[in-house]
Amino acid sequence: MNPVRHRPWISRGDRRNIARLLVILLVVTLLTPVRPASASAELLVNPGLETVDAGGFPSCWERSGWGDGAYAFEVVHPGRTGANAMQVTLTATGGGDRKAMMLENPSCAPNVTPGHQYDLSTWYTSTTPDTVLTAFRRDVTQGWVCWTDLVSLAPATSWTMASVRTPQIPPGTDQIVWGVTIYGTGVLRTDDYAMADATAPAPGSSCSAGAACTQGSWQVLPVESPARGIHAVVLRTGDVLLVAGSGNSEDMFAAGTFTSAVYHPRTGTFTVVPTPADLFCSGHVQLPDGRVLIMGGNKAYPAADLSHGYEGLRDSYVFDPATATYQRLNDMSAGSWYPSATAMGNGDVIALGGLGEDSSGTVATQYFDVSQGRWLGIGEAHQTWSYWGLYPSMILMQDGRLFYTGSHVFGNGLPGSGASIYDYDAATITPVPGLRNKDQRDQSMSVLLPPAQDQRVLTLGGGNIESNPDAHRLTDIIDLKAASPGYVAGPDLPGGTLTGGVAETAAQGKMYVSAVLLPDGTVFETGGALHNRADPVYEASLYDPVTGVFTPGMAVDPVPRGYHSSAFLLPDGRVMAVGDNPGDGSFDQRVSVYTPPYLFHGARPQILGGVDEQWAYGSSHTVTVDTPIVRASLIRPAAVTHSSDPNQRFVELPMSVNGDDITLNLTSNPNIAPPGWYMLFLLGADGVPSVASWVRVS
Amino acid sequence: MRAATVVAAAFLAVAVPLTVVTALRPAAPEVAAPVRPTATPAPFVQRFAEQPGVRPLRRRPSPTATLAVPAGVDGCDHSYGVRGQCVPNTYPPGVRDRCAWLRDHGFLATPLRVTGRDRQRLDRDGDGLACDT
Repeated sequence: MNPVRHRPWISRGDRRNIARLLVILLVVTLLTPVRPASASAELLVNPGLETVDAGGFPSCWERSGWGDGAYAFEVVHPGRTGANAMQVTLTATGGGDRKAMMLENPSCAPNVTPGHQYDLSTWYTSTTPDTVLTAFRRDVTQGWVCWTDLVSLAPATSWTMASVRTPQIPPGTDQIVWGVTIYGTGVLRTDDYAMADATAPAPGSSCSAGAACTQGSWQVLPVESPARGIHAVVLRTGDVLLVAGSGNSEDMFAAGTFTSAVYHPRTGTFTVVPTPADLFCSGHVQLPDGRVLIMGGNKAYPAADLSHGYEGLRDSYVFDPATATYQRLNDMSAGSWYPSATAMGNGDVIALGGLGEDSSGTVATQYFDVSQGRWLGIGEAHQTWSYWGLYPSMILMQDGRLFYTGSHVFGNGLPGSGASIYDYDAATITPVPGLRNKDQRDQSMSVLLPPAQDQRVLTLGGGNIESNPDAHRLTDIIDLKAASPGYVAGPDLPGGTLTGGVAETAAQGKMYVSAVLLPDGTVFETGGALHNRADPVYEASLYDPVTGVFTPGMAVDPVPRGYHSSAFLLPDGRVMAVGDNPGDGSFDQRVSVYTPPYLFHGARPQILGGVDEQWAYGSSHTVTVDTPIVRASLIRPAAVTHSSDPNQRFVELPMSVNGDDITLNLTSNPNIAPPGWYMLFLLGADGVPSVASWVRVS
Repeated sequence: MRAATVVAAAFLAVAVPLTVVTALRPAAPEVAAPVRPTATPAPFVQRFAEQPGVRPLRRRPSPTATLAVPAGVDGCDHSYGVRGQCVPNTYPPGVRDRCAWLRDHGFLATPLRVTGRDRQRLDRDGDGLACDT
């Protein structure tokens, strides 16, 4: 019997070849830099901080920051991987911050493409919650400018990865740099930065709605509002409160007939609400708990012999959406007919301007303390004794000051430049230059452009009911991030048509304009008229804050929307318009609803499994979605009258993306998003927004 | 046999380097999930709009008298019609015939009463109604 010859499973030659192959592959693998799990190339130079310059500091990185606080930058060893990590220590804040950033030069700063989004990540440890991932961008005309703050980093004792997706890169940007800012006492250590292009491809358009694909469309509801829609407030329930009071009707006033109604968008129905006083000409704003603070109103119409003018009420109420009832609060310290109402970062409310109980100008700063649930006495609030006019547009800035935009109601602007910054705490007012035609900004409208983090304000149109010129087309824009902000000219409002289809002249624009922030980050402007309570202008357009361009030719509301008209965003992403009160004394109680083009371009993104309802500042909240999302935002619900809603804002929610799970990161700064209920919108890659989910920021 | 050889080689080629690279990493625990802050950060406020060189407006003293505002603040001449109406104090540019303008804008659909002084001289016949002749 021949012995069985044992043949090896792998021959000697094969073993030799495999060994050679393994050695080659091993060498190649070890020499290849380790990249994060990303489909895109790493865009950073020296992301692991392993290459140092002659001074021992990582090449292509720089020490950055400001302030008098003691600090130290160190390269420490070992890193999370490799030898080096960056450590920044802040031992006393003294105001200011420190951050290690990529060098702002062509060799080190990563190049980016406008319109693209990028995933930024770093590993870190931190002993303080006072950190934020911050980005700067290089504008091809302005140079390096602060861009945005993206995400707060939780304290972490072991290496933890933070990741966030940038908003779309603005036009005119060719590079960005970023890093982690530490602004509280503590130690921050970072390593293994990464940056990759994460741009979601836009699906092809599938719109088959004809002109509505690009213009949107209007519908006039079959049922008129039972109350004159002079004041409109979107409630946290998704319903809309319309307040008329006497509704600019002396007969109603004499009869003591004061009205309000709640509109229910889901059913298209109205509920009439008993109204305790003449809340016509009041101010209003949502409180942090979602109730609506109403202040002032109409104590008297002017006398025919002009012995007195309009007189303001001192009354104040809260409207509770849960019960659809008004409850009386303590009186204001002064009468308030046409007061402003701005929610502050602590939830308190400042009311300025208006007319008092004797028709005189109210010069008191009136302060509602939300924790006490009452209006402070006149001596309890900081006073400047300045008259701010009627419905002055006071927009909360990121540092807690108020920007008076120059938009107001009736007559000329304030003396001086017509715009200013008001510091309530210091009781100071500093003028701001550049607003054109400041005495023709009567019933113009100002909005804090999306996103609120950009701190830019757009002021549109306006006229003057005293001198009654043709309302103009001017828009002005101000960047409140600048050291010395000033308005600069924006593009003209597109021209519209007048009654009978007559085209406006090149100089004609509109007052009584409405501007509505949409969940895709554009501004829809609609309605308006050419003269004092006369000559409606039929025109609507979309302003893109990114490109700075109006897209004209949006569908036009078939109902005239002049004096006492408003338009505002509904939680389903449509826009509702109410009111028109021409000089003949009639009032149009028809309600129009605009469906923007984005709702004709595909299915709405869905949030699967719900979303947290309570959001703390600096917190993050993960949602699961059914489609790629390119943007997320919180939009504060409207509280608008007379083209004035200074609290309207679109708060960007930087995203950390992990497949279908998206973590939404809320700013740490309450002045960017004052406490209260917000509409959470997600925007799909095809530009279609979700229906809003309601979240409470506190 | 040849196929098995290639599969095994490919497996080893991937598995061995991965093992080596993994072994080079530190043993410290790592968290790769998105960040969820466990402590509320202080508000991060930027140093914007400091307006260097701009002086605040002079502070006003506590007022000793009320600030008068004209009764016709709304631009309407309330000597005509009811309070909800607004016969303008000033007409738009180019308007020469006020009554024609008022007629075109619906003011005369019902009689427009003169309730105060006829400042605009719209009641030519003195019957208490504007623009009816």
